[in-house]
Amino acid sequence: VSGDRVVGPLSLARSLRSGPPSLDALIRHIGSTSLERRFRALVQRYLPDQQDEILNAGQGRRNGDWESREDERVSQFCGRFSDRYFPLVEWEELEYVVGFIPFERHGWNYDEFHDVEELRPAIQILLLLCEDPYRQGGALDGVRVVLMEKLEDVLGKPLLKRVPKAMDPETLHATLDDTPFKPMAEFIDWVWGRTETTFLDVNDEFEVYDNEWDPQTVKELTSQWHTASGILDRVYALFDWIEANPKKNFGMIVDAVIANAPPAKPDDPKRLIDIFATPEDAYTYAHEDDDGYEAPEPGDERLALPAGAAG
Amino acid sequence: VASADIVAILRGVPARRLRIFELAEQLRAQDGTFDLDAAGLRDDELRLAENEAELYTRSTQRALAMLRQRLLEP
Repeated sequence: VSGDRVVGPLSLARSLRSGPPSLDALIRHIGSTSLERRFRALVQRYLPDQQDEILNAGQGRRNGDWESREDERVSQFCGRFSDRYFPLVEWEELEYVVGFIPFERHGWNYDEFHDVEELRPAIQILLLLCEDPYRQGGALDGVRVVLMEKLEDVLGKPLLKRVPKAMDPETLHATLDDTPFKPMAEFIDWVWGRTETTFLDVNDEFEVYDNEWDPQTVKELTSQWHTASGILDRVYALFDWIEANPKKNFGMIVDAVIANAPPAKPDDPKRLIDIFATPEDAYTYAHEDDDGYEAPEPGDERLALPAGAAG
Repeated sequence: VASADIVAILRGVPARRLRIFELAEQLRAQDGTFDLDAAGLRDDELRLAENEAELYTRSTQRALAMLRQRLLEP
């Protein structure tokens, strides 16, 4: 009895009667567990020995609501997966992790390459030897002109004037692979997106469609990360070494490039000064210095400026 | 089409055993809740079963709408 109402004699029986569940309700209920199921499937497949730590993460939090628990669990998964396979971006939302593999992207993009002021000193120096990937074969290279000016105090004019023309990855590999400076060529591969590893060749501007979670893709990416991390280790060691003594150590690389570079074609400018300066500039610049270099006179056929370079 | 014919047609439709019912039963934990750990291991099956059930629901709703239209036609 509730208030004035008298409960009918069959109410209880009706309440307890079980019938087939509504199909819609069943689909909704099971569908609402989809993200959680897929997350557990990932944990079970890739980190079965750490299931308890991941799935129970955040449980002990005081006042921890379900959302913050979810953040903690996803963060735990990303961190532990990264330690075992390859680095993932540490998302805290389930949907960003279970949909596609959120692998870290270290590829260069246009802004990074052109915003040279933001780059660490060793990269600024090494880019002097790197042909602009966005203007392949281009004559006047704005990035390197800016770098030349910026690095004059660090490297000195004599060394800057010995810097050969910028090279593409193939030429630098042919030049340096048999020397201790092979990481220089690997650095250029990275800048050009030619490392053949997804991690170093893809940046945030790329739309990637085939990074769904499946064991074959995880295996392939793990193998690629092994290659990519090796490249990064060697390249960062090169950066440290350059920065320890920029003038001396970059000078050694320049010497190696000059000694091993393939013979220039007759119309190839040989040095950076030949590329960015007008014939008059090159002449003046060379004669200001006392390192023994004689710039060709304007009009001299040895000064092989590419078409349009002289303005 | 007469109502009696429609009933006869409906009776003639073969039963469809939807996988989602079977899985829901198999994935019921001892306390009656949905066993998410077990479901995680059978996620592919569940997704297929969900799609099958959704398709079935939509088809049924379409058939129902057509029947209503027929029966209510002047």
